[in-house]
Amino acid sequence: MITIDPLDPSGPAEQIRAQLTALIQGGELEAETKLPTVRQLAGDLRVAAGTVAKAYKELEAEGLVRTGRANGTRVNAGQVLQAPLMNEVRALARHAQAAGLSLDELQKLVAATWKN
Amino acid sequence: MLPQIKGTHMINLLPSLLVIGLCIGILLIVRRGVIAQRREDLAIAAHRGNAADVVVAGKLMRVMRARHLLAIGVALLGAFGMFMLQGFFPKSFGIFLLGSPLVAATLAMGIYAFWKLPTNLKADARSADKRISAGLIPRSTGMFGPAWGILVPGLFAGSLLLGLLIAGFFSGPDERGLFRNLPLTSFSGATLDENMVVTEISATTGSTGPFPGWYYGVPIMGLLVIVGILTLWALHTNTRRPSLHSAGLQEFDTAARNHEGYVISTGVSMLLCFQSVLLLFMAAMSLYSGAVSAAYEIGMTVEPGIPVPSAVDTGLAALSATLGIIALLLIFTGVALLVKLFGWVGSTFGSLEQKSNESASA
Repeated sequence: MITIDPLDPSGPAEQIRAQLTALIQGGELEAETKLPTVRQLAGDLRVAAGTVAKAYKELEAEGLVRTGRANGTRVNAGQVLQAPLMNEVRALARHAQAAGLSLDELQKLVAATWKN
Repeated sequence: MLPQIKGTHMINLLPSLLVIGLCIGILLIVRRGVIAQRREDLAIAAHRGNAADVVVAGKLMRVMRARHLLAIGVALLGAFGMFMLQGFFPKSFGIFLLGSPLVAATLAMGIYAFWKLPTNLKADARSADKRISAGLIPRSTGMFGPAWGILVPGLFAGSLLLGLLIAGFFSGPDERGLFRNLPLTSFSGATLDENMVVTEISATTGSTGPFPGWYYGVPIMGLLVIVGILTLWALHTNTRRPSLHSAGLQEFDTAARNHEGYVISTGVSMLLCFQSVLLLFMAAMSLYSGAVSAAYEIGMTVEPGIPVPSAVDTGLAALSATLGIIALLLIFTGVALLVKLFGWVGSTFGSLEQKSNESASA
């Protein structure tokens, strides 16, 4: 499941791309998993079809998914991040939850650290 | 002497079997807890979210309930309208009555196809949470509702089309040139001459009816195509509807889609079932009357009030009986589907908020 926040400055296309990337690299969306059609996802998220199409195109450019005329959009194999990094991400999420941080707060902390 | 079959016995038997079938069908469905189960599914799914989600789920259920009631209402009105039309056009040879299940199905499916469920429901206008969630499972038309959701109505429609085509090819015109009779050829004949039977062997052609020939078949096939398109469109609309905003309502959203799929598939299957029953009974009666003929013997005298012994064409009689038995089985199936339909429609009644309070106090 992905969620769009209209108040997020990054915009809906970037939010869709980022969340799908995280789900693919985290292994939650396995290889060959079929993604919803552009029209379905756009309808569910109340965004324009072009917004979802843009996100899918960027994912395709990154090699995370492929789009075939008959097969729809599917997750490519071999896109899961290496296990040690994923373990560290999971540990970070666990620690943040234990500390009572929300996802937003954790993301802001990571963004601040990233800039340094 | 050939066996005698009295038509009146069969006519008396049918309503009795219908009533017994109704009772058994209703008992089986109620005993299996279908009515309570469906209500529970929707209610449980609605309570997966927070209090605001329950309010939104309640709003959607109210619209679903209104849609079901309107669909049932227009279906009943359509069927009643056909009865009225039959009264206005008594020389239509029952075509309006015969087509009433499909007219009801057309109107009901029209409601489901064109009255779309709302997608921007909110607990209140000042709802603070503006976030919108979506699942990542691709939806397809056959995904929601029963596994047989498209197969069974498709089989009914296909069988009806095939049966009407076969009946049409075998049908013949009546005295007004309408193809609503079954032509028959017999190789014997008899006339009465002052109560004395005079037999003669000659090839005579006659016909029996009403038979579901082109006169009935063409309009019914047209309606069948319309019902098929509307049903697929209604199922497609159910699939295509954008999901509810809240992440907590995703399970309820799927339950609601399943619910709508069950109602649409069950409703159309039930009406196609009853449509098949009417046509099968018509064909069975027609074949039966064609199979039975008076067995005159040389020297026999016919007295008023004493029935003439009848001879039965076993082939036609067997075909007639087979069609009659299939029709009876379809009556049971139709009644079972009707009870199930009432169960699913009934599951949208009652307040979710009240249910929530009951759960909390328990």
